[in-house]
Amino acid sequence: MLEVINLDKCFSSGGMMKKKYIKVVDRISFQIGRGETFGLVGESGCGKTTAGKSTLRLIEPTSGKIVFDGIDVTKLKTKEMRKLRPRMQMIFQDPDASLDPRMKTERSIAEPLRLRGGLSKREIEERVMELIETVGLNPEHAHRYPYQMSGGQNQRVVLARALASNPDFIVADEPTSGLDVSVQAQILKLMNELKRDLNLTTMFITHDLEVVKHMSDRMAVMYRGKILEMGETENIFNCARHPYAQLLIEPQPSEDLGVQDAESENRNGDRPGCVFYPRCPFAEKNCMEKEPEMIKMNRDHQVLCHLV
Amino acid sequence: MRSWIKNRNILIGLIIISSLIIIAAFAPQVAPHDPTEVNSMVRLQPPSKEYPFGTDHMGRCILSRIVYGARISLLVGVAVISGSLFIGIVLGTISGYFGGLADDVIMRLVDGFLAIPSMFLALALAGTLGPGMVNLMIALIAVEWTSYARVVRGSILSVKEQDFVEATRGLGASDLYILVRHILPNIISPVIVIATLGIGYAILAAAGLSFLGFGVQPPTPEWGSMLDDGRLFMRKAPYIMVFPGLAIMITVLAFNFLGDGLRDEMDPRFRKEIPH
Ligand SMILES: Nc1ncnc2c1ncn2[C@@H]1O[C@H](COP(=O)(O)OP(=O)(O)OP(=O)(O)O)[C@@H](O)[C@H]1O
Ligand SMILES: [Mg+2]
Repeated sequence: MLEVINLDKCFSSGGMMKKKYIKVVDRISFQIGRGETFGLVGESGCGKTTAGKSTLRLIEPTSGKIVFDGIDVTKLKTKEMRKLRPRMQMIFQDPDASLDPRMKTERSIAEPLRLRGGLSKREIEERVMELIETVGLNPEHAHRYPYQMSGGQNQRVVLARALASNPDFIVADEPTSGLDVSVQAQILKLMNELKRDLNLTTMFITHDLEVVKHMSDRMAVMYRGKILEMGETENIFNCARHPYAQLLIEPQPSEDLGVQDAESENRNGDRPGCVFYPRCPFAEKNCMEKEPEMIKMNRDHQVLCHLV
Repeated sequence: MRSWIKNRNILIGLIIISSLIIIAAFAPQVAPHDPTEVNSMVRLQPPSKEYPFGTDHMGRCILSRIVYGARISLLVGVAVISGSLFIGIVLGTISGYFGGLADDVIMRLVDGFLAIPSMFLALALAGTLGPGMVNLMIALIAVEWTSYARVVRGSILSVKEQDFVEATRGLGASDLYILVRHILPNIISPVIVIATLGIGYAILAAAGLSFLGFGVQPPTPEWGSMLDDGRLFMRKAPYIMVFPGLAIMITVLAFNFLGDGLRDEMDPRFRKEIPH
């Protein structure tokens, strides 16, 4: 369904004279099968959002290839891309910010339908009410502005809006991170139901391991723009091979390596070797000098480490 | 909409401004005399029944001149701000939304205009172009447009980075659609507020230029040039200056009231109750 090959994203910063390039997503490759939920985990700032947005070309990837349903997305012209966009939707991290503050719920949800065209006013209205019900909102919410609703309710509106364009593929970027625990559970349950009913293919971004475990069929562990380990969720939770993945899954109480913020480190030092080398408890000389290659453990389990 | 009327600033501003508009529209019916009729028999007369605001040095009815002057002031104020708004929104939008080279060029142009003190620029332009109402407006637009371009650009920069803009692009919407449906509605409130305040400022500046002899020329009744007429007789007949001065003050204040009130009410996030 979706295949991403060697996706790179750099941001430039600094003035005109001293331009600095920061590599935020570093040659990642993954595949997502139809109807599958692919989890992407990693600590804050490792480039998850950037990877998600680049996959949908909401931001232009620096290089790499994205094939969606047989279409090479990276080659599409602006117009063709616009036509394809409804089929791939993104749910952003902050529900309150992803809705226009001047649009009531019904207008927000109707927008994708209007943009697609071909529906009468009545049909749009009916479809909007249907979607409002699908995502578990009440009809009275239709006439509210985003600031008059809770984060959880707004996230439901965002979901309804994404569903309105009849997508095949959804990137959900920490859809529950801003919500409190009980609302989180409700939204996750709703997403699971929708995924099943509509046979959606999903890329689920989160830093919460419990959530990936619960939601995803396959998953990837990301660190500083690189995918370090990827495979079936069950496999990774049972026998993670990469030292970083192991640390994430079973955090050692004595070492706070797992919670250290990646952003606090100098990320663009063009140091050779493994990205995880400075924090790796098992690091060897080789890890400092040579960049590891993806190693296939079995058909669907890959690890980026010299030591496996 | 209904709650806006409850805002005292908006209410006062609207009442005064609509009265001014009515007076200006029905000037021939409201004014007791012909504003340009010279009558050497009644020069410098203090307020009376016949001439409620008195007469000037040429025996013209001051009230009638003020009534007709409202037409000029409102016209100049609205025209100057519409012109500045148009230029400011177009250039500010191109600059803020599309960025790049266009942004650089437009912002250098704005900087260039801002480097010249505004009163100096207006005087120099009005002087070069020669007297007349249209030239006066051009001079004031040249001074005013930069602030609209900057406000529009700044607001667009902050709005276009928000997720809802990216989300709408993700639905397959075009740039034009996003600009018209999402970005402009979200930046229009601050623009309307400064435009309302700007009308007051433009009226004041137009009166100032006319007072200095640029701009609207006699015998056209204009508040600023009426002040100029009264200057020589300030001691003997202060009412020649007092009434046009009051007219300018009240009008400018009214636009300021309206602008301030709108600032408080515009943003839906500041509204409290849930509308049904
Ligand atoms: N437009 C941008 N320009 C420059 N740097 C950026 C830009 N967007 C993101 N970055 C940088 O890229 C890095 C990764 O950001 P990203 O938002 O993808 O992380 P994330 O994994 O989603 O983090 P979080 O869990 O906090 O959402 C950060 O260090 C951030 O500062
Ligand atoms: Mg993120």
